[in-house]
Amino acid sequence: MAPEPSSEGHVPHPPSRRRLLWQLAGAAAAAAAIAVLFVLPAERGVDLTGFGRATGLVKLAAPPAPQEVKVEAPKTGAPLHHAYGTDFRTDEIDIPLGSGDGPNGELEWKVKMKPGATLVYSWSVSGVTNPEEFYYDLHSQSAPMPKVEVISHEARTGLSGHGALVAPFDGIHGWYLQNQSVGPAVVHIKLAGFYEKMTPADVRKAAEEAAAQTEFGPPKT
Amino acid sequence: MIPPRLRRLTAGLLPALIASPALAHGLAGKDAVYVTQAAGAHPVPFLYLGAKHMVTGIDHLLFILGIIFFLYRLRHVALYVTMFSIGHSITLLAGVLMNLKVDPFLVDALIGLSVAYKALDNLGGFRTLFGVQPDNRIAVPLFGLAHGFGLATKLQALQLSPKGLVANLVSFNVGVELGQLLALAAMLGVIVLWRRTRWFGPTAVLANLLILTAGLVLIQYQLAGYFTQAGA
Repeated sequence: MAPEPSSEGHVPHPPSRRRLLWQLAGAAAAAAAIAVLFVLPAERGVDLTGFGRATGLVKLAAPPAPQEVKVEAPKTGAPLHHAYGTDFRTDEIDIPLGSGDGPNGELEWKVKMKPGATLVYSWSVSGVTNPEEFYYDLHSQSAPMPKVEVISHEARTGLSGHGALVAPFDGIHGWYLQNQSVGPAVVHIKLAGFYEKMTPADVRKAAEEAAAQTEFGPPKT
Repeated sequence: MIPPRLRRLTAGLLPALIASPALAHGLAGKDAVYVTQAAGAHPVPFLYLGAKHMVTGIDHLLFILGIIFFLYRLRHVALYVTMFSIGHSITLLAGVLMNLKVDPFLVDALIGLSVAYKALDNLGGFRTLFGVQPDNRIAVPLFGLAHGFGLATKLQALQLSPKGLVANLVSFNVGVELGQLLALAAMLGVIVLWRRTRWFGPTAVLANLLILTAGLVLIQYQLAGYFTQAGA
């Protein structure tokens, strides 16, 4: 026969005070053991006894793998990303130059670019061993608007250059190359990006056009 | 007599509850992603999430189990569960809508305390130890407030869209009540059968000691979270 249910809201035969205290002590001890040995190491990484490390439980509490977080782009004054049409191209060109004392010792080599267009480049010179004997000027030259603006990005002597260029305006962009050594030289240029190649005649024509009305100045913003 | 299959079921209930992976849980994984991205009223998904949160939340389930353990009349079950529901609805809605900030760990520790409290009460412990019987018509809705804050902090931890917030919140709350009713029905069914057995008396003591133990574990788990968080 099942015991008659009590309506007093607790177990039919409540344990005596003494017995209940023992039971509570047992429950508290069990709870402490479960929490301290298992739950705290596994869930919180709190390993009071070393049991968590010994059993590997504490690894469960290791922080999750770093997640990607979106941040504001740093304020560099220029956008860090450009998107263009599909007119991406790459070129590798060898440009022969005569000796420094001859008529073909210098050359303008340029490409056309729209404002904001980018290219990456890498060039080096062979035939010249002394870095002091080769001069270059990487610059941008605007279309007449009405004056022609020129920005020099890097003008110095050296045997190689590697970098990226963002066109400050619509115009032609590239190198003035000058061999100052006694022998001939070859410049190897690698380009990739968003630009149009120009023939040497185009470059010469642009240079002549610009000659009269060139204005050197800071980048137009 | 109870068929052996049902006996196995009843005997398996408590270990199954205690072994639940959802040891005082928040909204996680893809559910959290969904809730964060949902702009506008989405009653059914939020209803489902509320129900799921309740059905898989061992802290809430243990408290409900403790409440109904020794309620023999359906009228009483309905009364106490309604009081609990009113309590947690108030703080769930007010907590989110008025953006009341409470520490989630301390609230969850309080929820663990509610579990331990009800188990001790079921053991007749307050009368045996202190000679007083607390009035559960006051204690249950008060702890209900704590459970509601617990639900609110889980939602507040996510960036809820203000679009459709009230509709989504009410849906979530209705889902919580539905999930609670589902869990309640299952627990009542098992407990009614359990009471008819010869071994209900002794196992009821053991069961409530286990609930008490689980409540104490929850308290320590949440307090450890509070202190490690505060130090970080």
